[in-house]
Amino acid sequence: MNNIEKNIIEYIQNEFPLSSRPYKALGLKFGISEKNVFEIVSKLIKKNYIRRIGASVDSRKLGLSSTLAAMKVPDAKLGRVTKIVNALKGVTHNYLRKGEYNLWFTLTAGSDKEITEILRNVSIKSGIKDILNLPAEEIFKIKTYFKP
Amino acid sequence: MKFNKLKKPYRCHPDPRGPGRGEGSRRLNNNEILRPKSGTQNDIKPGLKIKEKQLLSSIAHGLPLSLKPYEELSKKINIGEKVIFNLIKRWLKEGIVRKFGAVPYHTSVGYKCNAMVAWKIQEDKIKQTGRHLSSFHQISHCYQRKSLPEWEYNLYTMIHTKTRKECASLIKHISKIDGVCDHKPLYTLKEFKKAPLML
Repeated sequence: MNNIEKNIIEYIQNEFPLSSRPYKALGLKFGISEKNVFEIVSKLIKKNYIRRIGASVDSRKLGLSSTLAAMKVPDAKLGRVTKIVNALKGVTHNYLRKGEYNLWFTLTAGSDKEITEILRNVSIKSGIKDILNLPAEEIFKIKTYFKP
Repeated sequence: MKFNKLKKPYRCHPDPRGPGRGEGSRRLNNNEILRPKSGTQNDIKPGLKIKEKQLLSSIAHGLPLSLKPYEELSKKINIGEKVIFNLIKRWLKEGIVRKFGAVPYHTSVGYKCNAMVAWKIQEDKIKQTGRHLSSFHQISHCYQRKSLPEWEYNLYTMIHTKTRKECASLIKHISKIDGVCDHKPLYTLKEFKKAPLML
């Protein structure tokens, strides 16, 4: 990324203009044309620097429950179990991590009870008995901003 | 989903003179459409809650790539652009939308090493440790979580650094803080899914 690209990605991570022509607003800010900003942002998306431009929603504020879950999945079963977990609508993150518990995912659902139920189903479907349900008790920090 | 619990349905005073007259027939400005009135009945915009949900879901998945992205949304959902702006502003204020902006791929932005670390913290030191760890700029998330007999870790951090070395030295530094009993670094090996919340 060149400097202007870095500056733009840095800026729009924090806020994207709420105006009819947001790229025009950004262009005014950075002293380049609307078309130019749009091309840069399009390129950053195409080249996988930006996943999306939009809202990060706080599920708890909507009255939903969420948790972090971990499973001990043997390598041979990884493909199948990942498919089961990824297919769940409430799974927003699913990562393979180094360690005995190697599959870690976040799950959001209507209630704690529903979460327990979903995890039980995952256990039955996958045949994996070792599942940890680790709901948050306190959130000290959530930062989604990365300085390029 | 409990989306409907979010707020009271929009209602207005019933007007005995029927539709097209009285308070219910007044043209509403944007603010009024967004704010429920108390002690009222009759839905004036019965579709609005559905549209709010559509909008929230759309913006969670990302704006369309267009010079006029809000105009596209406005056509798709059939609500005014100004209503969209006001709703997003309100959701930001209420914290329903934590952030409205670009979501980067942290690996491409230069953060090659990403690790979740589970920490076992002395119970009486957990709050102070949680606050302390939150002050590190390399730590993006810091949560206290329920510990289990088979998994006694109670504090979790996401660490993002440009190199593995920097990550390892930060973990080592934290492990020496008073009250930190044990830890387990869980380096990210592969991303299987990262998706916005489906509403």
